[in-house]
Amino acid sequence: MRFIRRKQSESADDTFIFQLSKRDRNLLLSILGLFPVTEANSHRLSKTARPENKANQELLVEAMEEQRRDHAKKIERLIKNQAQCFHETDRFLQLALNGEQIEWLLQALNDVRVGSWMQLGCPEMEEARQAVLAEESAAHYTAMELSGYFQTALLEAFRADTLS
Amino acid sequence: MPDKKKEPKSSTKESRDPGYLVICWNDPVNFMEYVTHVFQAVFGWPKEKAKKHMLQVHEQGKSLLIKETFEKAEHYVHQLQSYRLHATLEREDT
Repeated sequence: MRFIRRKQSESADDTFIFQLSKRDRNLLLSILGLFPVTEANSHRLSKTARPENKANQELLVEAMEEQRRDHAKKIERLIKNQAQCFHETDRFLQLALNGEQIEWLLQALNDVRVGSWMQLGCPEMEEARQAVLAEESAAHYTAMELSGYFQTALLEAFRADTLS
Repeated sequence: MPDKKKEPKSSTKESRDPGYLVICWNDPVNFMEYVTHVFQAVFGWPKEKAKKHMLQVHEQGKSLLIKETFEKAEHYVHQLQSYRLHATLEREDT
């Protein structure tokens, strides 16, 4: 998957166009299908246990649960409407996203990346690479790396200033 | 982009106390470019400032991102954690 151009619009949000193969599309949808991987109650508001933090810790967990539900619905829609979302061209598919859609995709993909890393036991990256050799951890390692691949492709949109 | 308009309103004396720190902690899993992007998206910072804080996280293990009232600091921690960054809120005197 790669970013190819940004379409500016005066009446609506700018659109970012990505080019991908059918294999990329299938991998992207499979990775998004894993969402959520992290647990909402794994979030910590503070490292210190102050009285004012207790109720607010619950608020954080609730906010993260709400975000999970919201993202899960968007992912479900993307999978369901994939024929409309991914436009076929001669040899590739094109995916058009606005800035807001890129943001929630980045968040969902990073949930899969961080959650998979946590399931590997939060290793250093060199150590994580060994996980691919073990049957029980290879799936987590693969999910972590693939979500990283798609995140990198999405971030290209903000790096480049190619306009059409 | 996160909705930066939804900033909380301060009401109580405690919530007006600007002594709460938002700290981002290092981890080996988040990409440097991703962390820079999140700082830009959440705080509206220019790329250079976002990158400076990202490098602090990477090289020093943490970066103090902003000092704010409890409610605003909490809002930023929610935003940062929605991107799955390891960010917390700490009282300045701890």
